[in-house]
Amino acid sequence: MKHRKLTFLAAVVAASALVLTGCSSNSDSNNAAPVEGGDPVPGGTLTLQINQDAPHLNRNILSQPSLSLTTPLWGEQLMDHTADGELVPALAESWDVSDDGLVYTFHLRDGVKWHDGEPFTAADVVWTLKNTMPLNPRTAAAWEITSSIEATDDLTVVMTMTQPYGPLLPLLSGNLIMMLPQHVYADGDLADNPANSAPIGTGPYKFVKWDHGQQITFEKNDDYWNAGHPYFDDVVVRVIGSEVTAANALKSGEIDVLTSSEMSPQVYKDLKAQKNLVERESTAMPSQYVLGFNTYDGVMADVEVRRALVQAINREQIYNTVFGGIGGEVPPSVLPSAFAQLTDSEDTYEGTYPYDPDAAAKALDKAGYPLKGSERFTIDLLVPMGDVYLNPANVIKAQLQEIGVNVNVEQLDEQSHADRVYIKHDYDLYLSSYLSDVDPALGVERLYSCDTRDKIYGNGTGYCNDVVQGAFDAARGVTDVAERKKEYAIATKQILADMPRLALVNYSGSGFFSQKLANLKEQFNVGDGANSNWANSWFVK
Amino acid sequence: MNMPAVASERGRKVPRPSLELLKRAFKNPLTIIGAALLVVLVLTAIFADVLAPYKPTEIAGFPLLPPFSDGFLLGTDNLGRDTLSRVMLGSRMSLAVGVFGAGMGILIGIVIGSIAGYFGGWLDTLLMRVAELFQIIPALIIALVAAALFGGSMQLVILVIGFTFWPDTARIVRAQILTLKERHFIEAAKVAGFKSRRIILSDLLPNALPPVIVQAALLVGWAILVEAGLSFLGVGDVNIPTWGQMLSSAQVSLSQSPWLSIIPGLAVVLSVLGFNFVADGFNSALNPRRLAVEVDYRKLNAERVRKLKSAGEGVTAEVQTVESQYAHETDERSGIPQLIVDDLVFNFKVGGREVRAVNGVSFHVNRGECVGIVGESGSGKSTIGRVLAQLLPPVEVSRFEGRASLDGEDLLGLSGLKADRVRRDGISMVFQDPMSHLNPTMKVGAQIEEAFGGTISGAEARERIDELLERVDLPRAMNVADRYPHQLSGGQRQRAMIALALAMKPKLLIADEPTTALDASVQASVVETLLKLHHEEGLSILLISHDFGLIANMAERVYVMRQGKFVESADVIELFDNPKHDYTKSLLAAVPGFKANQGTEA
Amino acid sequence: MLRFTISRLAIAIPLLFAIILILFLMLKAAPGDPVSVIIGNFPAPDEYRQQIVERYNLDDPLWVQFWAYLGNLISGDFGYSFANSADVIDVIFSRLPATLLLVVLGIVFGSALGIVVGLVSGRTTKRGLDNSLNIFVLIAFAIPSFWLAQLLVMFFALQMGWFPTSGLNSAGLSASTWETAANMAWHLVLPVTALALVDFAAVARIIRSSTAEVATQDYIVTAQLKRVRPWRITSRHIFRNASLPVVTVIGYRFGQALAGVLLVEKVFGYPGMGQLLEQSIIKRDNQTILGIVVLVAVMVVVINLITDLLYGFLDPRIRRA
Repeated sequence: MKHRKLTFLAAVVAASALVLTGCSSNSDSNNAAPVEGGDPVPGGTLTLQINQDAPHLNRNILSQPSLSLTTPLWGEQLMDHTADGELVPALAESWDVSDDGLVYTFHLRDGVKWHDGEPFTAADVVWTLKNTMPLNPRTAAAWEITSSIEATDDLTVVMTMTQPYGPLLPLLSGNLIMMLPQHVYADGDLADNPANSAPIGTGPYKFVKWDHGQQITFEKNDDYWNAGHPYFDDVVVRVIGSEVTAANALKSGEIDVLTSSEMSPQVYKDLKAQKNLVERESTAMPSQYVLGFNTYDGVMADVEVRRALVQAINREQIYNTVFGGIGGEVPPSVLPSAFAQLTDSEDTYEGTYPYDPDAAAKALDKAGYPLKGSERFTIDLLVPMGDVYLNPANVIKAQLQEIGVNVNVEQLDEQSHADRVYIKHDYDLYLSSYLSDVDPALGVERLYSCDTRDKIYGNGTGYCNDVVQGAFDAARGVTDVAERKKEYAIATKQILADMPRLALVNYSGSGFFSQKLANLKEQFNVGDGANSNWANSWFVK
Repeated sequence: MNMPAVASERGRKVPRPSLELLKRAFKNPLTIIGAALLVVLVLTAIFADVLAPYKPTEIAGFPLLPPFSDGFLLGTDNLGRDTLSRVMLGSRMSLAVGVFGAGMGILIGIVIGSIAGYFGGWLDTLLMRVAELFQIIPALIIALVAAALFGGSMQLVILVIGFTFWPDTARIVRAQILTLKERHFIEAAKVAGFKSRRIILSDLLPNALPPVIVQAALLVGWAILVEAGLSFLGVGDVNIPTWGQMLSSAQVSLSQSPWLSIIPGLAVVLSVLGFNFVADGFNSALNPRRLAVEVDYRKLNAERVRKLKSAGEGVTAEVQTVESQYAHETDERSGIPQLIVDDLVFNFKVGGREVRAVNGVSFHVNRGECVGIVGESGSGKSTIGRVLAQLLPPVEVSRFEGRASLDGEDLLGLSGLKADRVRRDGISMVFQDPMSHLNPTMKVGAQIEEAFGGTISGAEARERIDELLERVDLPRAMNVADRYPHQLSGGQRQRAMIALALAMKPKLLIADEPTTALDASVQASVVETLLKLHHEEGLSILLISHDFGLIANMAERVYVMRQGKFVESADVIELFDNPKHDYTKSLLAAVPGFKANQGTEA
Repeated sequence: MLRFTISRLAIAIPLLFAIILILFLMLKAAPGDPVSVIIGNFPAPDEYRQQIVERYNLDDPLWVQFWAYLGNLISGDFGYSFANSADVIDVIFSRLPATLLLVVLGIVFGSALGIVVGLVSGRTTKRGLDNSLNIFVLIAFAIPSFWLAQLLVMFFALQMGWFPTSGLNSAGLSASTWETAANMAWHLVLPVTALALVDFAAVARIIRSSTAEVATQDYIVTAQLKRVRPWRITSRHIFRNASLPVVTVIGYRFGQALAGVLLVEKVFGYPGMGQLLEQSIIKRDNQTILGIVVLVAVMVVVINLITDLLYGFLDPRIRRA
């Protein structure tokens, strides 16, 4: 009986993989062809969507996904990056790095004005870096090893580090540190400044008003340094919490763009069938969905059990059923594939633990967890709210049921989830997602590092290994790619052996656009899926 | 409504939860459909494991298969789990939460309602105020916060429902117990020295139970809806499939796979409908609702006319026959009698049982005469008045025969508006209970004004109203016209009622137990007013009463009625001095301190 | 009447106090970290964390926080919302009108239809019509509002495209007041329909039974004696008295509707209090959660006081000098 089911499951998986990849190869698409190039047509209101309102709009001191969409409209950073990770000028026209990797010199663009008319100068840059780097969780580590930041003239900023730091330039171009006007922020407390909620930047659109919970309105910045741009008169960012509601709004033309890093396959297929939409594969920073094992105590503290479970979890099936096999991939190894240049691809999950439920069952027998009746043991799997977590959890539940492991899924809101996982360690498995970020030192590292143990949104598994920690420390301290690659390979090998976590899916979601939007290719050349300044696109007449 | 025969049928008899009730409830097709739905629901819930083709958590096929796919009757969900199996398993949660949640609410409600109803006083006030506030506070919102903060579980959902649902039940139980408390068997039990707990448990509760059962069925339905809502919002255990959860995850598939929403939604609706239907069926069995049908006199009368015609008699002939029969009664003072009733039969059915209320009575009232009809309650005397005024409660008339005329115009044989007019212009009535016969939300003046039939209005009407009120000894200074009935004393209300009756300028006033509901102290003065109208203005009165004292005081002639028939009729003095019929004698003997031709105090 | 009102208030105030206390304890006992709400979903530097704890007095003893909150509340200060960087009262008032619009329109339309159906059902002489209407009402009672909302979206918004699927107004609408209002009305049709269903069913049931009840009252016999025309009996004698319980029901429904609106708002992505509450719970924006519950409780108490007064106005028996 069991055997029959397993084979059936395998057949389903294989077949569904086929069908679904078939779907994703555009065969079902009714979408329109995008309009690229041509003469720009100014005017119109662009309507975007975010799924939740934010406390304020100051990206530098608030890490919230919805901000990555609104921030590029009004704010700009020193550099930007292309979809391939290549750095391109923004407020800095050029930059030099000294050979020892300690001194960075930024040459700023001349003639840039803040939205309130004041000129943008090196003093603003120095103020922004000095005051917001320590408060931004992702740049705080870099700030620790920064020795000085100085303006040598009105248009030149020199930043000196005490030791080389690989991820510095990716950080400064990663939509984390927007340049803020010193004259606005100089007095009083940064966190209390009204400009956090009514931002003043140098970007293509000026903030107009914020109807909390409903929409944020921006208008065209006529003094934008990139003359002639942008084309839209206004940009309205609507808050629509539900994905379906947002999809319906897109279909009916109430919004023009829907980019989501967690789009459900149903919505995806639905949008794919619409004639009035254009799909663009997202180049957004992927979210990685990871399953964490409790290495503190309980059954999961036994490495043999972890290894066995990993063999019983079919990640392809999760990707295909939950994500519809689109907009992402099953991560081959510990480092997300976005960091291919840093990955030594020899060690993979599949290579180390090929999917084999029978072997998993045997391994559990051997580890001292034989079947009692139809069950070996029951474990708690904690997931945050949302179908995007609940669905994979239910697939895992079904898969582990096959080897006699009963999974009790508990869905908790984000805060309770964090409390149970990071503070109380009251779980066996937990599912979470994190942004792989601009550099492994910011993304992956915090999942396995001893330093982020018990920190909320850090390493909740309790895993701490000297080899891994040593390799991470070394990789962070060098800028040489080959050197970093070597260190990450060491860490990967050890992590795969210990299996404190299993990366389930890398998902960058998808983006659908009104077919009225022209020139999307150029628009999205810089920035990523969600982060676009909308200065290069316009409405087709 | 003071219709003795009918009243005893409609009286506040509280049916026990018995076979009788069940039978009556199941006569209703709604109850049967509802019960069938519930049987399906309960069986599904119990045997879900056996019936379901797959485990509810098992990924058994391709995702999002439509209904009627091979092997998946209702298709599969977004993960490829069998919808049919999940809907079946979902019934468990719904039923469990429904039954336990509502059960808890009802239990709390019964306890609190019993205590409040039985003990009364400040405890009652306090408990009911708390119940009121429990209904007011947004308990569901607070519960939602709690569930979100501490994680959802079935127990929490049940607690939430229990604590939000009790006030309704408490109120119903309290009301029931208050009603029952009035009944003397409880008083008797109290006298017998039973402990209050025993009284509540053994006597009051079983009697108060039927409406609670109805309430319970409704609450279970409600609880299922609340459970669905809470799990739609993500509260609850995600390991057990629930309909609300299924609806919540269907939200993303509305346009692509609408059946994922339609199927569990229908499951919810049908289950709740089952409970609602059963509740409604039992409710109608408990409180049989009559349709708002007044007796269709036009049809009845038309039928009578047709019968008479086929018997070779015309309508006019009918009246003439009646009058000629009474020609010998004609007295020199008033000519032929004003009201002539000949061989009146009026039977009707209530609850399937035939009531022979009036069974062939003949009598007359002369112009300016006051005639009494006396008899025990249930003798049919009030029915006579109602039949003449054609103001019967909605009953099924089984036999209606006889003839009646007023001032030579037929009262019963004519159809259409003319009969209405004859009655309107001719007959008016004063009832036993002026409080219930006056509309509580209308000022007295406005109610009297309606009796003018729209002939006059404004200042003129007001003047007439004040005149009328003065005629019944309610001086203008009292400003009765601008008051509501509840602001008047009992005697004042009955006077106002008489004024209302007079407003129709009747030829004949039927006074049906006009003083029975009044305090003894004011009875005399109301009688005086009536007598004044009778003597000074020559108003003809048909006085209907069980009270020989009143009859003796007012009437000139008396008919004694028993079981729908007159057993004796005589001049009032003669009757009192020399009753012939045994029944009359026994009635007279029952009058406290009766001596022949005693005063009005009964 | 006045005494009644005052005694009502006298109980309502301790109740409100109890609600606040329970909720306050609940929120404090709930797992969660307000700091991460302020900083975002990334491990925060300790220094920054400490700054925030001090700024918002998050480490004060519980009772200090409670009394401070209560004190502020009495002076009309509902506190500060971390998640919205604004005063709680402003945050709530930016959402309240939308929700009230939905709830009030739902109750108004639902009750209006309920009154009509209930009157027809209660007064009809055709048993068939009464039965059909009764079944219709029972079915309406069995339909979850959020499911109806889904069906309405499926059919009228997605299939037919007659109505928008979500929200309260179209984006970027810079039209005249009338056009804005029309646009809003267009957005409101489906959610109001979904929400009105329960009100409709509740009112129809009440009116049906109270109409039938009133129709057997003795004063209807008096009206018949006066030969008042049947429609006038219905409108003047029956309706007025039969509609009294509706006033109470509406007051009671108001509280329920404020809870029910959560579900409907979720389906329509409607920018109301329900969505705000949901977001606030997720973000542990405790002051906003407290603010919403307190405000809802106060509103419901006030509405019920108003319906009490209205009842007194409509029913002279209750009115006191």
